[in-house]
Amino acid sequence: MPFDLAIPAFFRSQGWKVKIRDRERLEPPHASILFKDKTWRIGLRDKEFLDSSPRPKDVPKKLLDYVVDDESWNELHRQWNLMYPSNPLDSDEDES
Amino acid sequence: MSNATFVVGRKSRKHQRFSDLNAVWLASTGDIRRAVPQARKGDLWIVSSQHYMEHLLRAIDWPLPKRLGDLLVLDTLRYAIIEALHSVFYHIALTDDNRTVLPCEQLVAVLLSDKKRDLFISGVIDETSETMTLWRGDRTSIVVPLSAFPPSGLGVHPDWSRFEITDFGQTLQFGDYQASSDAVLYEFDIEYRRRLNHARRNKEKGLGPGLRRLRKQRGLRRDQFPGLSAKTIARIEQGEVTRVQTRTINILAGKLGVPSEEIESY
Repeated sequence: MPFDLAIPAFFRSQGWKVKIRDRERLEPPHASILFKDKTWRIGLRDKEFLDSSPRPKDVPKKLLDYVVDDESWNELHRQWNLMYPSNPLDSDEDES
Repeated sequence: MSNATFVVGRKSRKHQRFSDLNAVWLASTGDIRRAVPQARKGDLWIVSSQHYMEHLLRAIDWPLPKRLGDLLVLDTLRYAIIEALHSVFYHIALTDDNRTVLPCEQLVAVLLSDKKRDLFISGVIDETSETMTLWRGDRTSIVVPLSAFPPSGLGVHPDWSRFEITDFGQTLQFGDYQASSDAVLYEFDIEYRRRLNHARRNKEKGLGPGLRRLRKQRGLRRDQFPGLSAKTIARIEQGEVTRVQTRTINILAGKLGVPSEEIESY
């Protein structure tokens, strides 16, 4: 079952979604911010956008603030680790 | 001159968004016969039902001097009709039923999108051969083994009988299980992978980053490569080994299930 972050209703009604799906590109761990035909991947280790296209600045700042807020961020971490136990966020291997 | 869209069927509320494609609606034999001479490569024909598909084929004057463009069918087709369609169209995008094609509004958005090649519009699953065929917004197809969708860490398995395409072609849904189109294309379309990795490879050149990404994709630990130590693999991934032996590369490629020259492309 995908993890679908509960985002503010205003953004949800516009069509924004923040997800971790059951089958994602594994490396590096990330959450996907979806809007219509676009996806922004945000790295769960460093809060950096993984791709230059689509432009990161097109994600509304208030939505991004909500996603990286401690409560949301910790839940995204927890869910990634549950869904991808073979590639956990805090693995020693990845810190090397 | 831009490509034309022809919709074979009667205008309906369900499909009214096709008007955003400046579609020409063809409901009668006469409409179809007038449209055929204008059709050319790159045009899109959307057929709403098996009934209208048969109607289209009956309206054609055989043999056709040229193919009419690409075809998207929004209904399940009889097997016997498929070969005839291949003589009429270049690419043919199929669906099992209404669920395995994007909803009309999203379909139109994808067909108009400048990244339509990276978005799925329809698909069919064959559980007997354990394969899935997916069609993209440019109507080209890709075949994916069902084994590409392992259970998630939470133990959720894909339910093939509940296949849907959602999120404007960015998500494949199988009941409670969702897969990103990006992950599927990244693994099974080498052109997509090369395109995405072009910029990254300039920054992260070499075998190491590709090996690390592919190993993670396969869910393998560094100690799961018989004949190689975990330490050796770590050194390769971190770029500490400048010349990797052919034997080592062959072991890596064999375990990862890819040609040795492709490891870097992941």
